[in-house]
Amino acid sequence: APSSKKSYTTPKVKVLGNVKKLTLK
Amino acid sequence: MVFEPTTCIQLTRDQSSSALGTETIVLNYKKGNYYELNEVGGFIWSLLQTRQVLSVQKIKDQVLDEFDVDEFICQQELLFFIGNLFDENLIETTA
Repeated sequence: APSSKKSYTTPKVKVLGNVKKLTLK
Repeated sequence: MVFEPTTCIQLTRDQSSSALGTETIVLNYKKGNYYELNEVGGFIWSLLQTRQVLSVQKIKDQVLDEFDVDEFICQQELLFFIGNLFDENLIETTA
């Protein structure tokens, strides 16, 4: 029977950046 | 910090998040960091948002129900992921 479950990938948390380091012109 | 299956965790108050497609973006107010969680990471995050406090075991059971994954791999990768969230002050343990 085909699995109704979703495809699994390793759970990851990736740092995108830091708002305190943004420069406002 | 060592996490056991019986360890209960919850989201910290210093964060806000939003789902974007299959990914979730999280902002940590205190550190100023913002993060991207992939689909499985976002699923775990949504469980914590909905249920407030959950044991690691309960989260693992939910992931096993939702995704096609071996139990041993699921547990190992879940513990690593939770450790990362803890290091970034996005989750905390409950007494």
